[in-house]
Amino acid sequence: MLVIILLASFLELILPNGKIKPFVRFAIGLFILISILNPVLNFLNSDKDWHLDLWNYNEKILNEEEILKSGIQINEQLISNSDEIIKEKLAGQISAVAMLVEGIETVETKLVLSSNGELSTISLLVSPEILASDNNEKQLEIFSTNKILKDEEKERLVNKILNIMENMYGLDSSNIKIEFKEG
Amino acid sequence: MEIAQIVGLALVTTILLLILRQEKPVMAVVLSIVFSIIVFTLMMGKMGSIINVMKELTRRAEINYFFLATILKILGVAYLGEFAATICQDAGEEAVAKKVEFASKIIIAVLALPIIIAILESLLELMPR
Repeated sequence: MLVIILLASFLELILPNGKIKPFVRFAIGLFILISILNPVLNFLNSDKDWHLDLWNYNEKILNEEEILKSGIQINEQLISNSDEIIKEKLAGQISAVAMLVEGIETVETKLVLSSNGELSTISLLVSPEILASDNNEKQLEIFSTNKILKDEEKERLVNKILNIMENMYGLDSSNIKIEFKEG
Repeated sequence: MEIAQIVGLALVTTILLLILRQEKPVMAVVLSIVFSIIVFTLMMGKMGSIINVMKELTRRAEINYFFLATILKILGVAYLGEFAATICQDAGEEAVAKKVEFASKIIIAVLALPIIIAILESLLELMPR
């Protein structure tokens, strides 16, 4: 208020003396009026929530937290997806290696990965090669004619597979489970 | 001391004008215009400092600068109009001086219009609906 009066007085002081003076005084009067009216209106409209931005700011922080949370979730999902793919590929690879052992027809592999993505357990379900009665002599040596594998044959296959897996993947034999699909 | 310079210049110009007005009235008008321009130019810097102080005051008082700018424009128009009207009167052209004053008044009124509208809007907001 004091500043407005000071300004008005100062402007009045530097007014040119002439016929235009009343017009300029009128304009200065308007200036004083609007300068006083503006704060009055602001005060009267003070019931409005002018601090809305502050609340928005808090809300924004919450949103950021949510975004971060969902970002972490997506990241975890991507890692688990990639783990699944690796698991699948590795299982295929292990099956292929196991099938190279003489006397094995098919191998189904199940893997267990540790939390840091390392191979911890291998489970192999082996289908031995079933021989026809009139097939070559070598196969006759391995498998019995009644289509059931003898224990010594099984042991030989298990030892061979275990040996390969231990050497290839650096696993302990206790972490490798081999089962035979029979019948 | 700038005032001494201006006073000296004014005295010399007045003496020259007294002589020239009888001998060559046209040259007298030219001299009067030149003197006005010189004084105006000399005062420009001072006016700038006054305006700067006013700007600072309005900023501190949180008054919309637009209104002060309008008032300063009005002041400028008034000063220029007065200068021109006085020169025209000195030259004996009363009619031209009147036209300059008229133009100044109209321009001032037009410049004051936004302030009038702002006041009206404020008053309308104050009115109960």
